[in-house]
Amino acid sequence: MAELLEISGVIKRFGGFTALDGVDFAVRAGERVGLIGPNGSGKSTLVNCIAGTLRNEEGAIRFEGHDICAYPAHKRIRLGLARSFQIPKPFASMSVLDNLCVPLLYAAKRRGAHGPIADEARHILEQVGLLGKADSMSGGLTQVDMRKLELARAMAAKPKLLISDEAMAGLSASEVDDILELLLGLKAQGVAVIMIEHVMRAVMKFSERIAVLVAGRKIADGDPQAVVGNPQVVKAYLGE
Amino acid sequence: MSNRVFAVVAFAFALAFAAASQLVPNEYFFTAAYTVLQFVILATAWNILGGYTGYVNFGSAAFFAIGAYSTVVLYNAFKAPLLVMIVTGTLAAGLAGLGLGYLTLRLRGVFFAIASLALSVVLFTFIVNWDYVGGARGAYVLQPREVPFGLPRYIHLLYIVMVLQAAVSLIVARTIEKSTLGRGLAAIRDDELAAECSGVPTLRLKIFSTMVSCALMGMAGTTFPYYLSFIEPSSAFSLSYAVNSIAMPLIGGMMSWIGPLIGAVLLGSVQQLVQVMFSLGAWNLLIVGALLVLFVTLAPNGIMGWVEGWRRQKGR
Amino acid sequence: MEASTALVINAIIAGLLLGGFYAAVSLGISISFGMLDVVNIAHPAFIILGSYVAYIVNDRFGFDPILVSVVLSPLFFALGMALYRIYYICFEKRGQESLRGLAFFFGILFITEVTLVLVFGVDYRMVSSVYGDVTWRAGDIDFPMRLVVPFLVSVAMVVGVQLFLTHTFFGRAVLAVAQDQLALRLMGVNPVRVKELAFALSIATAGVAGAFLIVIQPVQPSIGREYIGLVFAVCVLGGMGSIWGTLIGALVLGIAESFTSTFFGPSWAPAVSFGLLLATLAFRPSGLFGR
Repeated sequence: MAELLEISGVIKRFGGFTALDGVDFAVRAGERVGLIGPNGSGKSTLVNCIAGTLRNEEGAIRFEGHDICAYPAHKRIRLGLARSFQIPKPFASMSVLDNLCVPLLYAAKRRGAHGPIADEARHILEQVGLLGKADSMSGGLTQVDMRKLELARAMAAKPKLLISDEAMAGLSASEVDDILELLLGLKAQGVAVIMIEHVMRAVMKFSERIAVLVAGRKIADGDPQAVVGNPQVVKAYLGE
Repeated sequence: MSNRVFAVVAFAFALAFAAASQLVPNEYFFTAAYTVLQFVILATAWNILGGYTGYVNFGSAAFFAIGAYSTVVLYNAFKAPLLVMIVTGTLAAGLAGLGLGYLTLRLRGVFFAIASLALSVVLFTFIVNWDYVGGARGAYVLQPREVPFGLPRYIHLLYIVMVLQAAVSLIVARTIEKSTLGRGLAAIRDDELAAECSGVPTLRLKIFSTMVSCALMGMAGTTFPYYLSFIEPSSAFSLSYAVNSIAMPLIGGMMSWIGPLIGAVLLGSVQQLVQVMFSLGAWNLLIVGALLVLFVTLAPNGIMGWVEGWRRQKGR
Repeated sequence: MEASTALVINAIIAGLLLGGFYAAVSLGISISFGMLDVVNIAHPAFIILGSYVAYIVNDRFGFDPILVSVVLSPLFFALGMALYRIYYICFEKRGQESLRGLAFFFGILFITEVTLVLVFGVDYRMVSSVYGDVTWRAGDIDFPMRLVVPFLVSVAMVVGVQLFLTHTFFGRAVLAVAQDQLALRLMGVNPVRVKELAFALSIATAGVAGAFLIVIQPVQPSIGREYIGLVFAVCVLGGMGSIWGTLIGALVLGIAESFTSTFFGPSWAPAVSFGLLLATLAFRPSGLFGR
């Protein structure tokens, strides 16, 4: 199968600090990939480079064969590359429903997704279990609901690839299961997902494949069981 | 209400209002109303960028002055018809806004705010040193002897023009607010990064709203030289425009087109009253400044914020 | 010496002296805007307020204006603390600093100016000092003391603040506050308290700079506005939050203004700082010395 997202030799520096040091990484259509690594290993930087909120200095990022390195973030999501934020960023002056209308109008509609916007938004809210709060102001949601809204808004762009950036940090076990179920549901719609997570239980349950980032380099990539057994990975996580 | 219906209603209302007020016997009414309408346009225009998009423009006076001085140029050059002046001034201010936005909107919002302040001073200095438009001394722009449409005096015409301009501004503001564009602008205001990552072309939208906002401010200034018959840099660049166009939307409420209208009518009328009854010009500015600070600290959503809160409580 | 050479050298000297003063004026903005991320556009209002305080005391008792401002700087410090308290509670805490916070400072700027107009009128006020009318001459080169004294005290103040920030625990906390608030909390330091004190320091420098201003030239309430562009121009030009950058940026600006006045006439001078600011923002937003 052709690669949906293909990253090769990506380098990102902040001043003298090299956050990403030649990362190669690929995702196939509809695939579920876990991306793990200790704090500061460059996971978020990689997400930002893929989504276009940061520009990589070197290397290529291809989405469906197009080189998207020069594209601003809004163009990338219009191609079908959506991301959620680690710290939820709701449009606080809007209702939950209106939050979803923004990507629906600005990203999904441009790729020919039809139907009345409000119905589409309600449909997605139903999937994530927020339909009851459609008319609440998004600024006043609880942490879990905020995370759900964050994912729902990314889904509303009708992406082909969704990057979920630590959607579960700080949530209780049952809340983690809620979000996990939601992400697993995306598979049925043929959406590829990159899940960045510290909650290993969730990553292991979710991923068909796991990649490990340490200090800006990818040190392992493959079958989840094999990867977590990899001595290099164990060393990176448990220290020298 | 659809945009078209609103536009028709607004224009009909404006014309009816303008016609009815011709019956007012007091000449001073027109002079005072002209000033209030000026503020309605400026506040509405400011709010398109400030309230909808969340970017603070301290340079309202600069764009207003661009409109005013483009009229002076056209007057000196070939006594162009008023309509030509209005269109030219609007376009010139819009272009200046486009330029400023293009240069500074890539940066953090505060830089745009600071740059807009800077632009006022640069333009002021430029005009002061430009003899063709009168420099620091100022220039006379005489009202034509003949007043069209059988109106008694030229101020009546200026007043009607102002009413129509206010209607245009409100229609533009409301149309933007209710459109997809308006939703994109609101997303930028709430969280620019999240907006960009939701597919909103943030830079293009910001530049566009800056341009529209500045163009309308310029439009408000185009008839100003005729209104005073004389224009000098310190009156065209008066800080009063910058402060009022920020204070009025903040006091009225920034979330919708109606807030700036309420703020402008209220604050504009109060200032006129203070001016007439006590002839205390400087106190006016103090009142506006104090209200601005009070509202922004104690009632950040303005008068419309109260109304909304009250409505919500009643609905419960 | 040839007349034109003397003109150029005089312009450079005047520019440098003026630049030293600009550094004092902009120092506070480098702290509040550059380090604390508090966009205090009302900064010039406190400079003018400083001028008027120096004026009142000088007028009544004849004390040296600069000495007065240094002695009374705790007053400005206290004012700064109170102002930051309000700003923090009403805007920063609620995450509304970008729009409403800016409007708040704009309102403060405006109220201060109008109040001064109502109390003192729009007449220019000036102070008397022992060095006010003294000028040293070295050949064709002038060193007017009303510029030299503020220059020397300004530079001393800028150097003092820089040493304070780099060599004390509190100073390093200020430098860290924009970068890593979490680390500060872990060290047992309250970032809000650090910002409050640092902001107060910035206002105190404004008060002192106000005394310099009124020594250099007569003061009237609305001239504060001219300094808005200037302080931000210096701050951005020098690279946000760098005190040395502020000093160099201020000297560059002083010379640029002095040359403009000398060769194009003083009526063009106000446009220099703003023009430079616009150009810096447009083409090199990280400042002259930024990466």
